[in-house]
Amino acid sequence: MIPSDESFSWNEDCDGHDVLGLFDISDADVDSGWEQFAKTHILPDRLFSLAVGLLEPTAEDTQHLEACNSCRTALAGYRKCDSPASTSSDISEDAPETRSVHAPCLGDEGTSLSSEGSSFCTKALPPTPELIREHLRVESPVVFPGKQVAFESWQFGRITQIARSNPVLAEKLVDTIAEHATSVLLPRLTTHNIVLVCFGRAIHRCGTRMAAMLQDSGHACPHVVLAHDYYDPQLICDSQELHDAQVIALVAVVHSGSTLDKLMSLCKAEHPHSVMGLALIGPGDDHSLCAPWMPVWGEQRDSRLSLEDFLRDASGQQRQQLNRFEPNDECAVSRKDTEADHVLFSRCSDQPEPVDDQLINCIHETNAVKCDYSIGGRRYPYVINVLDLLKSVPSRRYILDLATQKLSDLRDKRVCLVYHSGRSARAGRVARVIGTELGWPTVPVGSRGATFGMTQSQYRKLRCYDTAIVVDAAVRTGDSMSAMAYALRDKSLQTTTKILAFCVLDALTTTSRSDLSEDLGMEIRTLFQLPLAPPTEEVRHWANKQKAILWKQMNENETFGTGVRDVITSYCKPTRANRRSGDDRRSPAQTRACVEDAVSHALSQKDGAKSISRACREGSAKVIRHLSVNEVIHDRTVQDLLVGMMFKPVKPCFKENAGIALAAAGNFDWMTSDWLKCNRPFLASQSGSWRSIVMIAIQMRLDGYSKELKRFRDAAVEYRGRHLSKTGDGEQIEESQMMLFDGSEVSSHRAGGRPRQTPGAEKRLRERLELFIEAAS
Amino acid sequence: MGSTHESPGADLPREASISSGLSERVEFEAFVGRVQKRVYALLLRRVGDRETAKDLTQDTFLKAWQKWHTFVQRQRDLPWIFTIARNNAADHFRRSNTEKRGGERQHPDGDRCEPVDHRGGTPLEQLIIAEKRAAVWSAIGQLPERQQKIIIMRCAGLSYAEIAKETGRSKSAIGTTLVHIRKKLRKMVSGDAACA
Repeated sequence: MIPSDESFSWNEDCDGHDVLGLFDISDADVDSGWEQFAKTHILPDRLFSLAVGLLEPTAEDTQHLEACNSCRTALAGYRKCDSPASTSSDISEDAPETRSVHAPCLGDEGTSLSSEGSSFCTKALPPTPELIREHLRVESPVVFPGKQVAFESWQFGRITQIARSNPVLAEKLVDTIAEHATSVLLPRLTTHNIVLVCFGRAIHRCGTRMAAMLQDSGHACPHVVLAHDYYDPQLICDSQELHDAQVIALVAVVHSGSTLDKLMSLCKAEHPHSVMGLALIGPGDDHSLCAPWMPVWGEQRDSRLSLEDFLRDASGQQRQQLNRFEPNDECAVSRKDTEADHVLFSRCSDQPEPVDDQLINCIHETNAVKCDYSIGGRRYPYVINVLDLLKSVPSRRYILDLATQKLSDLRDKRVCLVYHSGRSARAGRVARVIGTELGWPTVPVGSRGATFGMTQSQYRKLRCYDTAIVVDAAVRTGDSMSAMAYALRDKSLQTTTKILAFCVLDALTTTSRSDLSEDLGMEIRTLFQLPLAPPTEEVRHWANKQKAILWKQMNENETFGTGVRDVITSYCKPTRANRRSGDDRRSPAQTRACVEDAVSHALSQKDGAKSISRACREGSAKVIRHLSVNEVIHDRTVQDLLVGMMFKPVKPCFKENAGIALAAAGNFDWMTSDWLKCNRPFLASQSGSWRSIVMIAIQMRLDGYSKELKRFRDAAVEYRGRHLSKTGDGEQIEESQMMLFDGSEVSSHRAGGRPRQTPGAEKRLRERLELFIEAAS
Repeated sequence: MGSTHESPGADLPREASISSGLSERVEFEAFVGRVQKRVYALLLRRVGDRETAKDLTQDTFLKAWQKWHTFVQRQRDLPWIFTIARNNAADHFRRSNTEKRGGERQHPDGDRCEPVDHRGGTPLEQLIIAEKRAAVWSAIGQLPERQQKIIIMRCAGLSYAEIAKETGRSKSAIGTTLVHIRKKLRKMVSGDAACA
């Protein structure tokens, strides 16, 4: 007879006989003993968590430990023993100080979370590790935005600078920060829906590493959101991403707490489950903010003095050393940079004239306004084609009348119209039309090539005239005009002949006509002022070019494997460009609107950061495709935001475009194992956006980014080995996540309930990792 | 736009070790939470005294943490922790025996010193219970290893189904084995008692 579990008793055998007190302690005795244990002592799991820093001790814990020798001894035992983490020689050598965080002292060092609106008690926070202090604490006077000067400051933004000169050290710094911050965070995570909102580039980098560590600790897919702009903090995410999530706002340093406060307020507005702040460095006193927050390391506030006091008392050397602290970069920048920025932004001061109604009519009649137009291999967002204006008789008459009027003071002089030989089709045509009208000869100068240099015979010819008018259809950047002016000046023509310039259209945006005129020492006359944006290559143009190159390579080059070739040929197959039908059938109102759009586009300050923010808010990935490549390359903030997007739970097309934009800027920093870990749903999604990663890898290969490529390959190999094999059949990607990455609402991802599984996702992920590895090999 | 890694391959072990340090702590904490009551039950049945069982439970997990990084077969964590607990109890008895050598609570065979039972009773009754317990555990020690594991798990409060899952056998097979073990133990303990 087999006893059932229910009837089994330790005091009885299967037949119900006493077994000589075989097991004299019954289950009820065990239960009662256990209850007593739990009531009168700290249970082993909690004691362990307290000892290694996974939990913060409560006042009750502290009180008990003071009184109970047994628990205190056990706690001390855990601290003294060699834990798995501390036995790693790497860690102990590099970050010997990490023990202090994992084993915070109780009693005096006890920390606790007080009511909402207060910080954690930080009276005895662990000190900042020496590695962090050595590299991120800077002893040099810096002036903060509030015109306060500190002689020492924390500059976590230096991680980004260090990464360029010493990547290994930067990784160590990020590791140390992420590990400590994660240790502090882990016991406070109450849900699996976690969003880390990281302020600034350097902190975002730490945040992505933290997300990878949280995943290792069993938290599924923590999301990392980038926040930026100290002066007007913004979250680069869809508002639904924070909904019902446990949001942790992560900042580098809390001094007054305003940044963290603003950030947490922003997060709170998105209706999260809860908001909590985490500062890497915090002051040693209570600091009330709009939500609970805690520091990872405790440091006294930097002592600061007013800029006036500093300037009064500082030595000459100190004054020279004074830099400006850029809160958006979390580090000091030279004051010269600031001055240069100021000069740059203060240029273009002239207000544009209102657009001439008659000109609008001419433009409408001749359909002279073009969008996304290519001239001489350069892309222009908007173009007013002056040659089109000259084709129509009424508009040509209008232009010639205005030109005659504009140049009337020269009628009684010997005047010639000069244009560059290489531009006879455009500038030459305008010159000839005006010359015919006014009876002035036209003289081509320079050669048909790119050079603007004048020949001796051209020089001799020009010397015969009192005035030489350099003619062009439009002046947009002033580069051609400047080249012509310098070419004429080289031959000292101005000593005998007056030189001036004439353009039908003043389309200058980055400078004004008067400034350019002053710079060139040459009068410039124009008929219309209509600011138009300079030629701009957008991300989509770059991507199309790149696809064309790769498609050709795949057809010609046999070195690529079949898998990669299939992917690239399908992804990069050229498609017939859609002809823009709107250009041909505009109404007068539409033409006016288009011209006004062109002007406002040219005058609006280009802000890629705002565009990306808008893309997230509106859920429109095409905004990213329309970013200027030039802006992505030169504006580090734009790159940061795009990198942030690569770590966020957005639709695959966002990641596709962001990845391509970053590739256009040669930024492959995001292609790490952390990225792979955080992008499991994207990589296994059913959309074809993942193919962009193969394309980027092939591009890196062709462009010789061997180091970056090796890193990506190693990361993919490691990911395949460590994570896929570990999960095996048991763990599959949640269908809710897949839904999100296949285009459904974000809320579906946030929906509660037990996620369903997609058996194919694991397989797809494997196949794609193989392709990444093949493409990167 | 360069790389952030000079030698990515060289970084991997360190990165792995750092994140594993954290995950190890979390993993161990979860493990302790899962098995602590089992360990306590086993130790209570072994020593018969709540305070001693409590101290030994804490000590068992401390020793387990010291060896956690060398413990590879984590899917077989229950037998591992029970072994540590039993060794810990054995060490405890040895220490007590050394400290109280010649004391009145010394086990008749001179090897064990059983603590006084928490449930009270006269000293004589307590002594008898302690002796019986020592005899049972002594008999358990003489069982084949597989049977030892099963009875230990049962002592720790695992259900038949849980034991079956741990040992890879069927629930009915576990029930049958436990019946055999009981009979065997009864015989062994009765024999001991008869000898005594």
